[in-house]
Amino acid sequence: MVRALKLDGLDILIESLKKDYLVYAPLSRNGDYFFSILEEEKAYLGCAVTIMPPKRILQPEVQTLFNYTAVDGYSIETPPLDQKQALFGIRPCDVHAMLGFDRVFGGRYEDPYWWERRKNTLVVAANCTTVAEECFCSSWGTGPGLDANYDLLLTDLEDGYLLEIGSPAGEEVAIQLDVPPAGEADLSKKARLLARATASIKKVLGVKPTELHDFLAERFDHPAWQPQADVCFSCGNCTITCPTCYCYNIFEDYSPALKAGERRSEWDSCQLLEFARIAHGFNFRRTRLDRFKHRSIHKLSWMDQQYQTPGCVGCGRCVRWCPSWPVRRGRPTSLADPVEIIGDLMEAV
Amino acid sequence: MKNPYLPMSCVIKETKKETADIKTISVELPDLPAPFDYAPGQFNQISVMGVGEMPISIGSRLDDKTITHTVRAVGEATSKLVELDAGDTIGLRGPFGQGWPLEAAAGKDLLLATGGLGLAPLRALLDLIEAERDRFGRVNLAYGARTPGDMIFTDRFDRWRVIPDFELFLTVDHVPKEAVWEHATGVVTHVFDRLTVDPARALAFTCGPEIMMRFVANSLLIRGFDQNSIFVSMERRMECGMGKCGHCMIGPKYVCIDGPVFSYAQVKALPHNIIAGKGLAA
Ligand SMILES: Cc1cc2nc3c(=O)[nH]c(=O)nc-3n(C[C@H](O)[C@H](O)[C@H](O)COP(=O)(O)OP(=O)(O)OC[C@H]3O[C@@H](n4cnc5c(N)ncnc54)[C@H](O)[C@@H]3O)c2cc1C
Ligand code: SF4
Ligand code: SF4
Ligand code: FES
Repeated sequence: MVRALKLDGLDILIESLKKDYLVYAPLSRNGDYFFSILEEEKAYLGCAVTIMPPKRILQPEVQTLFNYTAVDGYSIETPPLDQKQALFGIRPCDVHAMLGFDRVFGGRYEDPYWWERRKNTLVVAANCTTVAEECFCSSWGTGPGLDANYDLLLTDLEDGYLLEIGSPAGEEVAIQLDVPPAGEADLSKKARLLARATASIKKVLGVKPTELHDFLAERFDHPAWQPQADVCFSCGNCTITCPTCYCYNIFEDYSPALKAGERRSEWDSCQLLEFARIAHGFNFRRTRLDRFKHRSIHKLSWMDQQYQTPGCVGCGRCVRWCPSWPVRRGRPTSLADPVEIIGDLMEAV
Repeated sequence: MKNPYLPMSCVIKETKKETADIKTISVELPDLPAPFDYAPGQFNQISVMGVGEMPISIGSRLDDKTITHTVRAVGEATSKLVELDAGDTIGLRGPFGQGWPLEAAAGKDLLLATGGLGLAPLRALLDLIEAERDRFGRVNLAYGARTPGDMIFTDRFDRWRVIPDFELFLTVDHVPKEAVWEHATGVVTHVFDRLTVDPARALAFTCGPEIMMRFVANSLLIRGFDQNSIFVSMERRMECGMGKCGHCMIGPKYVCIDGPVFSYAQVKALPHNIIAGKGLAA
């Protein structure tokens, strides 16, 4: 059985984490939430996904791959990535997205930047006992509760917090806390609260995940794509805020005077026009329609085919941060919303 | 953990001008724990310092440590690369990708149909055919270019012509007034009437602009080639070469790790390409 403790408040845990880790947590900024370094403020553990997913802490928007001097061939230096950090209050959906990145950055070519940071990151997850309007994690089985893949797991029990320990690294933190073990009543309360949270999720994907591959393959030429693409701004918000989107560019910053340069990676988005453009300006996804379909189907089917991990975890960010709402008057959601996309495609031609 | 983003420093040993804008670059690899092993049709990510990286097919192996790349100046990085000379240093990481299906090709007739620079990704295979002639049946190389001056590897043509059971068919779109040309004119499919390979026991390998590969594939399908016997080498924007950056994706396939060589049957199931013509919105 998983060892579990009962905390009266979070301060004792946070203080203990801060001794060994740089602690990132969801912090409130003008009513929205951001994963930032936790200093004096209070971490927010109620359910509201952060604008940017925590992927940026493990795979920063821009990161140095290496510095080089070009005097006698390439003389290369890679950055140190040994900062021990804790992701405090990461949601179950975002943990599942992180497991997806483990697949993308694993495989035959392991990405040392991802894995160095990943190994130095303590996952202090928080179950969602309340859910937001945009959430549909239950359609994917990626929330609102987390079963595994955490070091520590918090559940807000209203009269305190349940702290479950999921790894030796988590135990090392827990052992320093002078708090009593949780009782049977606490564990059954957690189960009750999560059942209530699940029941309160109103958004449901119309097609079962296992049936999505065939469903989408059969509807590649469905007429519902075009009107959605027509009002898409190709802004890339849906991919930049998506916790499972991993695409990036590699570029170079070079000083001829110093004969020194830096090679970096930078997030990119398949929604941007240049993404699939090759030399001579030829572009294999020049139209918004082709880009919109690529993003939607990659999220909902192709990523799973590539990595056996879902490309959507139902976090709802693309529902909230797609700026298409005012354009699509009368529709209660954004055009990037996977539930809406599937819903439109379910309509018979 | 090995860092697959880091290029090795390589010194250019020699360069050779092929056409007005195409150059073959021989590069010397550094000392490696194991010999640099690659299959025909694979590519390297070549870095020009201060400019960036580009995917370039691997050509010939000149000796244990020297390999060639043939490059056309089309943009920023390729233009800088063709400006470099013997003694200059480049970065290299690779090899990447799945090359031509050599196992399936064993004992079969081969048709290599290509245009312009599209001959470069077939160069390593042509070397292999020369070195191990018994591995394959009859071989036809159908090679087209805009003009005679746009053909690459012209110094090899006579060597290829004397390979047993090997036919070379050349064609150009257009012969300038001053040029002498004793071969065919017209696009590469025009020479297909003269092919001597047997469609029932041949594999066809093609590389070039997608519109050309579309015409080649259609013409071969009509001549009785099976969709599983036609292979194309595809070009997409690449950044990582390792199935991570997402740029080279066509549907669920990554050109960098699942390709660049795909069968026509595979391409037919993919969106966003011209070869099989599915799902590229106007
Ligand atoms: C598997 C494979 C094998 C190849 N083999 C060969 C070969 O043997 N020989 C050869 O000559 N070529 C080969 N190519 C093609 C070669 O890689 C391209 O011609 C080369 O990458 C062009 O680079 P460039 O910098 O010169 O072109 P550019 O057009 O300057 O740019 C290169 C890439 O970056 C992108 N880009 C440029 N500027 C921007 C911008 N502002 N914003 C966003 N994106 C931008 C472009 O879309 C383009 O894809 C191969 C390609 C592939 C995929
Ligand atoms: S597609 Fe939308 S709902 Fe799904 S994981 Fe990405 S941002 Fe969240
Ligand atoms: S949806 Fe687009 S940006 Fe996101 S992972 Fe897929 S290809 Fe990359
Ligand atoms: S080049 Fe990055 S995924 Fe293929």
